[in-house]
Amino acid sequence: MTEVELPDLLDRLADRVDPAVPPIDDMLRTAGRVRRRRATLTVAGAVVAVGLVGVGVPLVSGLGSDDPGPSVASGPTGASEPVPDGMRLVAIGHAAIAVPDAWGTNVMRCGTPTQDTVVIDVGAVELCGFLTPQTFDSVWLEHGGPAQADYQAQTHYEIDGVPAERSKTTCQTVGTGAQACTGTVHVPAEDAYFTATSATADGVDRILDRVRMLDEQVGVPGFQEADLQGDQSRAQETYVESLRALGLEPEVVLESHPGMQPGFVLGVDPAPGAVVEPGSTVTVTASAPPNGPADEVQVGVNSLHGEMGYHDLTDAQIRAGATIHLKVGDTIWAYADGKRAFTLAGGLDGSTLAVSTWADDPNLPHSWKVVSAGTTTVTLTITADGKPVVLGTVTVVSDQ
Amino acid sequence: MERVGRDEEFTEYVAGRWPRLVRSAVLLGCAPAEAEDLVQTALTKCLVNWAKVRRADDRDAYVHRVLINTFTSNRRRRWTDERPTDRLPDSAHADDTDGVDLADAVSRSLARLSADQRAAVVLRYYSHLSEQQMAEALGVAAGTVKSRLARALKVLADDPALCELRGIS
Repeated sequence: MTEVELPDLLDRLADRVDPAVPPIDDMLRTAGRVRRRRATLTVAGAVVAVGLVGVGVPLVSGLGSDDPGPSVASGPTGASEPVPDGMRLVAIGHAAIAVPDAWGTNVMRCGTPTQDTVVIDVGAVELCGFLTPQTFDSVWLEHGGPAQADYQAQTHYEIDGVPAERSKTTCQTVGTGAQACTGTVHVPAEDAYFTATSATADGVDRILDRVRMLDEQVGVPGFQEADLQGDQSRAQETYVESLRALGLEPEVVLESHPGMQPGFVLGVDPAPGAVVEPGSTVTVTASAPPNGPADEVQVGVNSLHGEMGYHDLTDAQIRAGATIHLKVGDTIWAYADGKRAFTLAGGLDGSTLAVSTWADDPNLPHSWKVVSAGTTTVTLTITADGKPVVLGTVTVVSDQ
Repeated sequence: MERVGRDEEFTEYVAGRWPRLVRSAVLLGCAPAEAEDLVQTALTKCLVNWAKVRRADDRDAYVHRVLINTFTSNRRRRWTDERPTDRLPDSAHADDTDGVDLADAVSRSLARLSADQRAAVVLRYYSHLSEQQMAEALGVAAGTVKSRLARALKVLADDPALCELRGIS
């Protein structure tokens, strides 16, 4: 069983199982029960806490501090008010927040900010544990749902005449002994959430007081949602539609990425969150549809010099025609990923390479040993509709 | 998050992923009925913490992590009265004989892998997770994922049953 055969073999084995209809109602019911039970436990814990410390404020969460709550009465940030010096706006739709220019964008490790930063439109966040010795200021902008897992609207107020909701700020001590306070502002009209984290509850208030509504301008929407959720094959269309819905002018640039699903949004300029005038052009870079079978597969070549030296050739290098220097006795093999990867083959022009004799070589038959000094060109192909399709070449120059 | 929005999102997610998740569980070594129970339990856990699933951004990696953890803790609990099965799933539809033999051979080879190696193989070659997603799903470093896969492939390559299989395929 080789690496290329495995997916097909597992598919065939798995296809013998015919799963029943998913019991979605059961799951929804059970989850609801668990959540209610948790809520009851949390309230019970809070009552005990109040009893012990004898404080008159109701603690909503066992971990929550008795912070003064949101400073709703702070002066309104007028929509037309200029952005303070040394600050920039980041927005979701017409809901924006001013942050210091010194703040980075998405400067995180394992989802934990490693300096003061705005977090917007992040793709995958590594699920790993990483704690900083101090809590940096950050604000996490989300569309559609809060970044704060236990977000609960506590106060209803208005920002520049638009209804908004604010959670209670809660503080807790993290593993390194630092305090981290978190609070969220939700602007339902834009389905925008601003979750601020700071070392103190006052710090959270200071960040969230800078949420404002834009009259005309809008934030460039993020594209990760289109890429990672819903119908991925329509990611580009979905994203372009979201730009038009905001009155922006999309300009799509296609980039060829062999083996990649077409219509995947790879980048956008200006960046997500940037505040632009209505009608502005936004350049969307997306993966191009395949221009024939060769684009539907990604190819790679690896070689082993002596005991330890691996040398990788990328898909782009091979397609451009790569040259590699090896010694007699070294091995070199090709592999592919994607449609028709199974049919990968290598034609040899030259006599310095011989097909690997190691019977269990997972890359057979496209795995070779350098048997003599000289030059051999390997032409890598796949087979589509019975015909070979050339992917690229690797010229192996070898000496003793 | 609105309850309705969450439930709808969950329903959509499950509708799209259910068959593949159940089949992954079978490849991990569950009998078909057990696989459905396992996936139901794992998805319910995800739904309880749906905000976390959303926040994880890479939902599939997160959901697979919950699935693997649920699978492992179930196995641990039942270790005394049951071993990971090399039992074959019942054939759901008629198959050509070669197909059955092939599937049997693959199933037997998977049973030769350690639980960790088997999970790595299933996540990579059936669930098509990237190494980074696998590292998240398995809660290990990306390097560990690579070495587990490499060792698993070595075991599979050394499996005499698979020489027969080569003859078939």
